[in-house]
Order: sequence, then C-alpha cells, then structure tokens
Amino acid sequence: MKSVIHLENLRKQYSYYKKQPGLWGSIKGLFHREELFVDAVKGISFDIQPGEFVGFVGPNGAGKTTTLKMLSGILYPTSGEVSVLDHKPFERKAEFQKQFALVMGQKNQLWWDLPPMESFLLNKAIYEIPDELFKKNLEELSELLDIKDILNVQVRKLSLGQRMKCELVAALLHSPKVLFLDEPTIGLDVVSQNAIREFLKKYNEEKGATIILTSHYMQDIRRLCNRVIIIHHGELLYDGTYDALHTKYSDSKTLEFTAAEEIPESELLKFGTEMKKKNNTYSIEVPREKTAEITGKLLEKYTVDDIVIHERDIEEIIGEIFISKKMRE
Amino acid sequence: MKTLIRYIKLYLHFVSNCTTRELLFRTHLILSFSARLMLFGLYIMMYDIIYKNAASIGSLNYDQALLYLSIFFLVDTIGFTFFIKNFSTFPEYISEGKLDIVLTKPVDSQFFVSMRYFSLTSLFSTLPPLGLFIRQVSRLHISLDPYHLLIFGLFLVCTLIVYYSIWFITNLILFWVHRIDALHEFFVTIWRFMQFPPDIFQNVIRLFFLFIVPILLTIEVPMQALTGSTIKISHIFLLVGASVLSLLISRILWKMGLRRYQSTG
Repeated sequence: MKSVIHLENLRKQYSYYKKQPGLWGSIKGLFHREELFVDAVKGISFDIQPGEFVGFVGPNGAGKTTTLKMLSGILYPTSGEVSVLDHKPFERKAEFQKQFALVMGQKNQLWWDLPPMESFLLNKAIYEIPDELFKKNLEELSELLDIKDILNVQVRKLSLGQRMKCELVAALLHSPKVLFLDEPTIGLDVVSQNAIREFLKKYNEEKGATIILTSHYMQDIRRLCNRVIIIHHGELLYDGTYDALHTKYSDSKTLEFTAAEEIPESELLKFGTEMKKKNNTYSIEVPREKTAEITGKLLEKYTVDDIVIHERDIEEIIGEIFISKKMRE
Repeated sequence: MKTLIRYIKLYLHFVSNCTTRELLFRTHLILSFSARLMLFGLYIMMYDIIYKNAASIGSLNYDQALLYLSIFFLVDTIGFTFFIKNFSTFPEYISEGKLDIVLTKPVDSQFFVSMRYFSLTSLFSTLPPLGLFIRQVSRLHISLDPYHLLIFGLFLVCTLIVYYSIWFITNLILFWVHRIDALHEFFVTIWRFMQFPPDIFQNVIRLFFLFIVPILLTIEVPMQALTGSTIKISHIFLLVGASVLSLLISRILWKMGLRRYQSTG
C-alpha cells in the first residue's frame, strides 16, 4: 500500500541569538549578537499508511510539534524529504491544504467574540465546501460531539472542553483525509478528554482518516493509537505498536494490592523486587512473563481486597531507551 | 475570474464577521469614531491657523489645501478600514505563532493576513473627509465629469496600492527581527507627512519620499486629475510605477519572510 505520509532524513534547524545575562549583557547585545543554531529534528524517517492512527510521543522539546508543522507545511524543512498525500507540504498548494487539517490544543482558529457557527461558515467559504456536504458534516459532527446547543453561543463564553470540540468540528468540516492533532486534550478535564478520545476513535474507524496525535496524556495514546512513534531530542527512538513497546522495553510490571493482613517484606520479596508499602497497600515489581502466575499466588496466599496491574510509565521507558541508546553510541 | 469571485465572497465573510463583532462593542465604536473625528477637526484647525498667516502652502491656496487634506484623509480612513486591524495584529502572527493556522488554509496567505479584519469604525470615519471633499469640490467649482472621476479613481487605486504595500512591507521586518512593538505605527507616522502639500518637501527629503518611500505624489496626482490640472507625465509614471513595484516587492518579501518563519513552540 502506498504511504500517505513519507519522511526521509527530515531535519529542521532553528537559529537564535545568544543572550548574555544581566543589563550589561543586554546593552552589549544591541551591538553584537552571537547567532546559534539548534537541531530540533535530526534526520527522522518513517512512513504512515492510509487509515493509521499514530501516536507521536516524546518529552517537551523532543521535536514533535516541529515535525507536525513541517508535515502541515507551516515550516520549511532544513533538509530531507517530506511528502504528505503525494504533495510537498511546504509548497502549500490549495489542492493539498484541502485534504488535511491541523488542530493545536494551544492555538485556535475560532473567532473569539463570535459564535462557532460563524467560524464554521467562514471555513465553508475557505474550503469551498458544497452546501449539502457542509450540512451533512456539521449535523454529523455536532451530533457526535454533542455541541448542537452551543453552535450559536459566543466562543468566549464556552468552556475549554466545548471550545476544543468546536475546534475539531471546524477542522473536520471539509472531510480531511489526514488529521494532525497537537495536544488536543491539553488542559481538559477527564470527562472532556474521554469525550474527545471517543470521538477521535470513532472518526478514525468510520472515515478511515489517517491521524497523527501528539499528547502528553498516555491514556490518549494507549486508547487510540495502534502505532507509537517516539522521538527524543529530535531523534527517532522507537516505531512500533504500543504493546510491543512495553514488551520490548519494559520487562516488568507493578502489582499493587491491598491486603487484609500485615505481610512481612521478606515474604513479598520472594515474589518480586522493589517493594513499597503504605498502610496495607503494597506494590512490587514482577517479571512481565510471570505476572499472571504471581498474581494467582498472591490471591491464593493472602486475603487481597483489591489488586491492580500497572505497566511501567511511558516517560520512564523513553528515558531508559534514550540512555541505553547513548551508552551504545 | 472564478478565483476573483471566490476571494470577493471570502472577503464579504470577513467583513460580515468583523462587523458583527464590532457592533457588539458599541462604546468602543463610538469612542474610536470620536477620536478619529477629533483628529480630523484638529488638522482643519491647523490649516485655518496656517492660512491666517500665509496666503498659500506651496502652490495651494486655502480651499485647494482643504481639498488636498480631504483626499489625504479619505485615503487614510479607507486604508484604515481595510488594513489597520490586520497590520496591528501582525506582531501576534509572527511572535506568537498565530500565522500557523493561516498557513494551513487553502487561501493565499498574504491575502488572509492583509484582509482578514475589517474596521467598521474606520469606515464611519470616512464620512467627515468625504463631506469636506464634496464641500471643497463645490467651492472650487470642479465639474465632476465621468472622465475626470474615472482618472481620479484609477490614481486613487494606485495610491491605495502604494499605501498598502509600503505598510505591509514595514510589517515584514518582523520576520527578521521577531519583535518590534507597534511596528504598524511606523508607517502611519511617515504617512502623516503627506497631509502637507508635496511642494514643501525639498532636496533629500523630497528624494526620500519620491524613491525610497514613494508616497510623495500619492495625494497630489489624484487631486490634479480631479481638478483637471496638468499632470506631469513623469509624476504619472512615478505613481503608477511605485504602485506596481511596491506591490511586487511586498509579494517577494512576504515569500522570503515565510521561509524565515519559525513559529513558536
């Protein structure tokens, strides 16, 4: 199958001026400034197939947003190849721009003082959406996101969650084939996060749209993405499934349980390592392949009120992958 | 033609959205209009005072000077109607990364950032200079035949293109220096020089306003076309040339600026 998105050795370098500290430094800066360069993206390559829902993960400053901006034509790459829907995004051809959408959790396109409906109508004109399609899409999207009753309320009077739902509608009215989502759930409460997640899942399944999602909430990635790409310091660290990531890089799981009785530490350490205890709640690290077996033994031996199995935190895994990569180098 | 109709429709959407928004804030509308009206009144008073002490400024007598002033303010308020909100928003586009969304839209980005906002207040502000213009046309017994009106209109379009392009170009500096607060005021200040007849500018200043920031003839040439005075052919070339060249340069610099755009994290 032909890739929808193709990146090869994609690189982006930013320039900035070195600021010397203090007032004297600022005065000197008026006459002489040292220009420095930083590589935000250091030659990454990957392909994305039609209909994939890809989680683009990495810590702050990893290069996620810069990559998305190159994919959507906002930024010119410093070098390398990039193609989205057979177009070079930085050429910004209207034909290409009508086929994708970018939603940024921290930047909005809705007119602040007007109801969202006015922004939707403006997008109808911008994207030249036929009347019938506009009506159909608006009906469907506002139904799915439950925003019918706020279409004519000023944007500034809406909650953050409602605004993000409207941003999604504005971005999807022209039925984009590719959707770039940069932190769409940032700052939202749990209920709104869930609503957005459910919507995106459905949208991807029903419309077959290719979606790239960046998020700091691992719940977003775990529940939505069948593929995860991890980037750190502008370099690609991992590209594969979410489960494989844990299997490959996390050889243990954490069992957290509450027991009716007091359990000596020496007893528990027979099952695993790194025991932690708080009142009657215990947590131990156990080998991934023995999780089921050890859980059974614990339930058999002790009176367990509650037990939860935790995967290792993705941020921790990313940190470890990065360190081990550096050590290999 | 299809593209032109599409852009006109799009612009009408912008106008509709902006008008709706401005009508929500009545106090702002009234105060802004009052401020513009007072500024206009102040300039007329200043001309009154000058002409009490001098028979003419350059080659213009009192009535001609007021006609000149009315054309200046007409251009100024029309320019403000179309561009003031767009250009005062420009620093946000560059330093806060608001250009991101614009660059993903299937619309010419220069058109989008130049025309997105429309100022209803400034449109109302065209009325006082329009009133003065009609009064002066009558006092100077200028016959408004279609030929002179057409030529006047065409030169006025050239003037507005120069006005737009130079204002736009000054804003583009932001792509290279990232932050200059109220940069749009820089052009407005320079433009204010043109409220005086061009004859008063001599030597280096005259050359500066003819070739570097070519706004010297932007009011005089349309006025001469209207009054039926002889227009130097070189002046026509300079005004038309300035409009074509400045628009072209604005386009080239916009494209170059976009290549330097770094957005924000």
